[in-house]
Amino acid sequence: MALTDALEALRSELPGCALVAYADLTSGLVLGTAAAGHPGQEELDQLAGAAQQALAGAVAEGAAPVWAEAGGPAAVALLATETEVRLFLRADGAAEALICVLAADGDLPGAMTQARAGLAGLQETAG
Amino acid sequence: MKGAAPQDLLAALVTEIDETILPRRLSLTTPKGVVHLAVANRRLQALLAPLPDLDGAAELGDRPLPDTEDPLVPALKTLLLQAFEGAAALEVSARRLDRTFGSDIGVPANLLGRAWAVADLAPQKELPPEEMVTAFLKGLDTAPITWLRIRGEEVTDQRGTAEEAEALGARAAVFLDGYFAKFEELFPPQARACGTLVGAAGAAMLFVEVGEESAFLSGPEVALLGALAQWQSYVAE
Repeated sequence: MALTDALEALRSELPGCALVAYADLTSGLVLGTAAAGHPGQEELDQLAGAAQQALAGAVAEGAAPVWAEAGGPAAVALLATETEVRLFLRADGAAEALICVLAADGDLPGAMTQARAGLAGLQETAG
Repeated sequence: MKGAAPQDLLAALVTEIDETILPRRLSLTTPKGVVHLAVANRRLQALLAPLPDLDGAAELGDRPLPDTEDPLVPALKTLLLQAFEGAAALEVSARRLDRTFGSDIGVPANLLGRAWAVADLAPQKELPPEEMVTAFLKGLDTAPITWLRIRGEEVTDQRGTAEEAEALGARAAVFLDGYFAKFEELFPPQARACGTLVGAAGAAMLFVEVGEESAFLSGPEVALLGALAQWQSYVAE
């Protein structure tokens, strides 16, 4: 299955999900997307930049003392506003991340479970 | 829990579920007997034994609710309305669940409210920032989460020992340096209320802010994810 198809399958399974993307945290490049609308390049770049900051940049470094005993990089981040929730999940052992743009009042624990389940398959597809 | 009619008590129950993050056995003392419910992550998970002597209880007992569409959901509504008949108030007690279900098992309170056609769960959205943060922190279970409440740059309240608060303050200071430096890359300029959760290895931190009011929280990822969902119930448009 192509990456875009896998992303679209995941997006359709996530209630209230407007966009799913797979991004390289090192380069900040979006490797694939699936969206309900037609996101512009500027929006995708902004999402990838936020993922970089939250999982591998200054925000992640600032949060890292919370899990200092376990060590390792940030694995999950969420940025929430009154209009949407952006979920970022780092792929295991990779510098890539899944990005999901969710409804502001959706089922976050449920979305997290589904997104994690979908990420392993995406890694295989992207790899 | 108070209500003029069984449907009002059902709405009050959904609100109670919406405020319950950690796995809890909610026991409702009704005119028809005690009803025990498994609740976690703001979800109703199951009707638990011992079962009340009501029609349909045997079919519902100890069966996890998989999702909103499951026939168990309206059946449980019918059972609860039976149990609530004749009551103007119900005594509710909560204790730790001795049997836990998966964190994604159960029907979220907001979806349950729609499925059961009870009142809107989010009247708090009209609260001013100070009261919003107060209500949010008050609604969190005490056990796994430590927090600092911050107004402007001043810590005004805390949960946890003095030692925990000091450690949390140091972590908050480190986090907020990076957060404010990169804020424009994280959130759109029109954002009114922001929540940021970052975690790894099952541990996480959560920072929420609206106006001059904010809070920095630390604890298990699953508990803070539930807390963020609760925060969103106050701020989401």
